[in-house]
Amino acid sequence: MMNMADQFSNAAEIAARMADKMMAGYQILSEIDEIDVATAEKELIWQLGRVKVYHYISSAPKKSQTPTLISYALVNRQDMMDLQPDRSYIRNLLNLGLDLYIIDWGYPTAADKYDSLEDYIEMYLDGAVDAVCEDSGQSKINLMGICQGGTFSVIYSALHPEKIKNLVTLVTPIDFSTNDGLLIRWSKDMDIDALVDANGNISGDFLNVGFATLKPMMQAGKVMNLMSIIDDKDKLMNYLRMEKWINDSPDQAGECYRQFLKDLYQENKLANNELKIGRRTVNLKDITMPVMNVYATEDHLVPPAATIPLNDLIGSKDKSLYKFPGGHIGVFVGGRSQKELAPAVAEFLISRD
Amino acid sequence: MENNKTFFDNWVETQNKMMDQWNSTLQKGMESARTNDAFQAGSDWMKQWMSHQQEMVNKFKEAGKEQTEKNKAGMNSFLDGWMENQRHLSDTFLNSLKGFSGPYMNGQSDNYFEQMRNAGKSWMEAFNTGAKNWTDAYARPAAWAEMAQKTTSDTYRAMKSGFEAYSVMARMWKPMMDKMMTGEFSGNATHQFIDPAAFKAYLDKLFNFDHGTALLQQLMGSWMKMAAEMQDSNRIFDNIDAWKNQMAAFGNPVLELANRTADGLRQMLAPFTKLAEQPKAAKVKELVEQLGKEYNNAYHALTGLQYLIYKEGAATLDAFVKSTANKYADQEGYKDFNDLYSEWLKESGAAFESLFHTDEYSRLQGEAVNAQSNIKLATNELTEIFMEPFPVLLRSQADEIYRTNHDLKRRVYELEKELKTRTAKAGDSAIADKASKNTAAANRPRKS
Repeated sequence: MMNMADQFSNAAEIAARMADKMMAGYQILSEIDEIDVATAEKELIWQLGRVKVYHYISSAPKKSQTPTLISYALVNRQDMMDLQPDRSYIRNLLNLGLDLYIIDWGYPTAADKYDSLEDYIEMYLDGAVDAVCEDSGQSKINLMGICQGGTFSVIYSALHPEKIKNLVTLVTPIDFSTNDGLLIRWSKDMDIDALVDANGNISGDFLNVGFATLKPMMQAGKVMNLMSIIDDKDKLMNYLRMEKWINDSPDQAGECYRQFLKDLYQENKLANNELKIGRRTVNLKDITMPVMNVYATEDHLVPPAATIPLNDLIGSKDKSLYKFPGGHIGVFVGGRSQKELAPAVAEFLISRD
Repeated sequence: MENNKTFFDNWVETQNKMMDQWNSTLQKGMESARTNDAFQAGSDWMKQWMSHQQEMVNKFKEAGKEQTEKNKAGMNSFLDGWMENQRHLSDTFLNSLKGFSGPYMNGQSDNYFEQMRNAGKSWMEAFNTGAKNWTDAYARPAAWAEMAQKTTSDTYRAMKSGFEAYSVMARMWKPMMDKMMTGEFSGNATHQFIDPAAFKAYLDKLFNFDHGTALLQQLMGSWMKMAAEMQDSNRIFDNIDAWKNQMAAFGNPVLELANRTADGLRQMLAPFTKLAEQPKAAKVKELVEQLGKEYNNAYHALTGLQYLIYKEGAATLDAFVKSTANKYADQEGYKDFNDLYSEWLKESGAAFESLFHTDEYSRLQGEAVNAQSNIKLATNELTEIFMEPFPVLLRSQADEIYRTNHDLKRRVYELEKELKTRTAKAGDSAIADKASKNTAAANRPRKS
């Protein structure tokens, strides 16, 4: 233990050192021109308005004939799964032999405010699935949904089971009856109609402020960490890629947000088999294909209590629950994700090809 | 003579003086408006008010220095006082607002369209600034203000902000640690060593309350600016006796100016519009009053949130100080201040997360967000009314176009899909293939 007198007589020195780091940081940061993310090679195969589907190009031998379409959340961007070459869930899956496609939901503008949950399921996602079928020559595909994109995938699979061979959900909220997650808890006290009526689309900044508040001291801790790595170019670039991803937050199409928050977050209609998409009611028992459901034990955005119940709600006989020790983001960028989760997902799909 | 006032006493005294001064100036300004004097005086009274404010803030800072050294203020009394004072300020504002929206007259002339346009512009700018200030401050607190502009500059800003918070914490801990070193520290006497103002500043930085705590002042400022700009713009009417006489009778100059501006604009554009609509003065009045109420709701909610965070922070700090003191008493401790700070972040983070899970926090946050939504709704509606006479696309009209486009987009998608299905079913592979190719071609992006 350091002498206390030393500790605080050195306080000024510590502060001075940190100030030096800040000055150095300013210089280093100002010299960085570009921060690359999502660099895995891919080709655009379909587009409907702002929504696009890409096909990843890989030289690795294919071990699955069935293509896999990845549906990410509308919040933030799918780049998280290919943040950098040595921390890329996408590259990992490609190297393991999967044939991957991915949806880019784009950036909704005011003109897209009327895009509803039904539009996302029955027009964009359905169009994307058809496009992948057409491009690959297969009548069925695997669907891999992440977070909110997982919820979309579950809804779609219940409505169109004939098109989905296998379903993989990662950190996907299904049962909103829990109050474990703050987002779920807080949404119940908000007037969603007023929010959407007033704003049209819901801004990414608004959501980001909410996410940052969930872990109020995390930012302070991150900054302390940044101070220690500011003069290490590689580590700094890793940090910046993550920051770039965090701050790349598309707005949410108003009508979709309205129904998603009211019907799911507030009224839990999906888990209760009461959710209406157009004229159809979503019955989770209609999901009969093999399902792999991945949850993260330390997920503060989508708590395990909202994810785990999926397996009891669906009609599938072949279903597995994968417990990932870590947080919401760690599922895609952590070392364990690369070493364990990606191989497990690939194995699940290849063995059921 | 020794100054025995606590930090809180000085703070409240200053806030109350500021509020009294604001009220008094406001009353003076409104009286001047009624008697026309203010039209000549311009915005002198506003400047005077600002000068008084600055003077009092400086005095408070001086008094605060002494108290910071003495550290006599108890944390809880400081926080309770802060809360009470914020409520007082908010209530006083609402009362002032009611004073604004008194009886009004709906007279109008036809010879000052240009002037009205200028006056209307000033009023609307001031009005929108008020709404925007609040919205931005809530939705985009300091550290997030320019988020998504450039990752590196944002990172630097975050680093700077984090460093400032760290520095505040380090300075705050120093006197207490000095006492721990000499064995004079009692774990039950945290408040004697922690400067509540410094701790509040630390939490303000962490939670971006730097802007949040200034919300009330922003609101007051925006309304004052509105009044001042109204008077500035009135200068151009000095030679319009009829207008001044009418204004002299109004009990609500701001609202009336808005009403008359809308009327004036309508008349100016009358030749270009299919018909001159009746003024929507009553609706404007209703919306302005609603806006004031929602501002008040928002402030109560936001103040309540801050209060909860300050209280939780203070309680956590107190427990943390005690555990730290015990560690040192047991000859344990932290490697350095960074080590201590990391532990503090961990413990306080857990405490705040617990707080966020409470019904009270969630309710207050919901009220704050809902009030913000309602402010925006009222602002949207007012803007629509004011813009109605102009040959510009209104929000509601744009929405109609968006909806039509959306419906058409959906319909086209469904028809294409149906065509593919029908042709496939008919077994006409050639047609199906062609339809498929057409659809794929239509959906495949074209290279420019």
